[in-house]
Amino acid sequence: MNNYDKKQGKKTEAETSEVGALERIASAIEVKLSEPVEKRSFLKIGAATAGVAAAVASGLMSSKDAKAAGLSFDAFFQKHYKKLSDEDKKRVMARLERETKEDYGVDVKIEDTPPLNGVKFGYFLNLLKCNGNRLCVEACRKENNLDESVSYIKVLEMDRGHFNLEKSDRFYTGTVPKPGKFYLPVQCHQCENAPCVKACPIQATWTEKEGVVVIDYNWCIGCRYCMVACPYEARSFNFKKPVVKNINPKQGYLSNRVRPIGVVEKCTFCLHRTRKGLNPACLEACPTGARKFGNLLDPNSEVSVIFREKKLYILKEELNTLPRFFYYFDE
Amino acid sequence: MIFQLCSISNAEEHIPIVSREVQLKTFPCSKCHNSYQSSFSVTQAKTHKAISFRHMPEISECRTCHSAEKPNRLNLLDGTLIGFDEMPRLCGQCHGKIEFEWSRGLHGKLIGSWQADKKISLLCSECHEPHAPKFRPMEAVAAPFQSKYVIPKHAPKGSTNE
Repeated sequence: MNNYDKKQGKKTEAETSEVGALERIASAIEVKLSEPVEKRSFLKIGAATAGVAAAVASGLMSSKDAKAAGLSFDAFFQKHYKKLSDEDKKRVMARLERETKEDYGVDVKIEDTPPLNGVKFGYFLNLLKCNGNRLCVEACRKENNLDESVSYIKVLEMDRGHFNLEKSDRFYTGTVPKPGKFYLPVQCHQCENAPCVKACPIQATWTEKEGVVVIDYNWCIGCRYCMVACPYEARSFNFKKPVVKNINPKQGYLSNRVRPIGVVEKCTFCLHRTRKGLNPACLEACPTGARKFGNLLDPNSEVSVIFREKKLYILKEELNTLPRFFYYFDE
Repeated sequence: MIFQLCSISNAEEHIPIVSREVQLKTFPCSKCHNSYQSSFSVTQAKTHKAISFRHMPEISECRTCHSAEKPNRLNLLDGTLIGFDEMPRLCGQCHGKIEFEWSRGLHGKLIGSWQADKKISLLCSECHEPHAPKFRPMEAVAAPFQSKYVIPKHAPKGSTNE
C-alpha cells in the first residue's frame, strides 16, 4: 500500500494527518501559555531522537536516514511532513473513496466542507412533543452509515415526575407514547467544555468552529478514554468492521464516512449536511416536530427565540459540560 | 414539492410553505361538487371513504370549515373565504396561540434549511390529519441492538449495559 511513497521518503497520507494533529497540539499549547509558541522549537522539545527512533520502528524512515540522527527536528519534518495542500487533500479523499469501494463495493464521494463563520449550532428538543417513535434513530443510522450495533441517538423512556436517568429504559418496544411516560432522546451534546476533548491522549477529537466536536477516524487509536469521559454515553466504538447495508454515498471526512474497525464515533450534527445549510437527518425525520436546530448567533432564528423564551433544561448540569443540546417545554 | 408564499392574518410577513392543494388527490372539489347542500356522513361517499371525523363532531359539521357555495374554498367563522393553502388562518381561529407559534417557526418543523431566509414551513395538514388532528399513538421503531453475549439474563430492566 503506497510502498512507492514510503521508499522515496515522500509523505504518505498517514503522516500528513499526523501533521495536522501536531499543529493542533502546538495551537493548544499556545492557548494555554497565552503566548505564541515557536512551532519549530516545540517540535524539538518533542524529543527528536525518540521521534526518529519511532519513525524507524514503524517503517516510515529508512535506517540510512536514521544514521543521520543528528537531524534537527526541523529538517526531519521538512523532509517527511508538510501541511496538506488542496491537491494533497484530494489525494487523501480519493484514497479513502477507493478503500470504501474495495471494502463495500460502493462509489462514494467524501468531502471536507470548510467551517462556517459566525455560526454556533444549537439543538433544542421539545419534550412535550417527543413521543418516542425512534424515527430519528432510524434516519440517523441511514444518513451516517452506522453498523447495527451503533446508535448515535438513544431514546430514553422515563417515568413522568422525575428526571432520574438511572431509571430510564432504552429498550422499550411497542406502541408509543406509553401512558405515564415521557421520552428523552440523547445524542452527543457537542459540549463547549467537552470532557472527551480533554481526555483524548492524542488529540484525535476536537471542537470545530461551529461548536461541533469531531473525530478524525484515521488518527483515533481506539483507546476509548473519551467514552469513559463522556457523561452522556454519546460515543460508540467499532468493535468490528462496520456492516452497512445501504451506504449513503454523500459523505464528509469528519462526519459520516464509513469508519474503520477500532475507532470511536458519535453524532456530529450531520456536519456534511449542516455545513451546506441543510438540516440534520434526525430533524427531517421527526414526525412530531420536536426537534429544532439552528444558529444561536443569529438573534432572529427560531432557536434563539427558544433560548430566550422557553424553559430550558440540560442534562447533568452540575458537571459543567456546557452542552449545545437543550431540552425545553412549551405549553 | 411546490413552494408558494402565504400571508397569514396576524402579520404582514410572507412565509414560504409547501403547498397542500397540489397534494390533494381529489382537488379541485368543484370537479364533482357544485355546492355542499347538506352535511351527510362523509364516509358514505365512495371517494372520501378514508375520512373519519374526530374533531369536535358534536358541535361542528363539514360546512363549519368547508365553504358551502364554493367547494374549492374554506370559510372562516365570519364568512371570509380562504384557499386551502391559507389553512393556518382557519385553524388559528380556535388554536390562535399555536398559529402564532407556527408563524415564528416554533410549532412543527421547518424544513429546507436552518439558515435564515431559506426556511420553509409546513402547513397544518402536512402533519395533522385535518378531520382527526390529534396524533395517534404509533409503533416505535425496533429497540436498539442488544448483544446477547453481554447482557446477563438477570440484568435489571433498563440497565445501560452495552
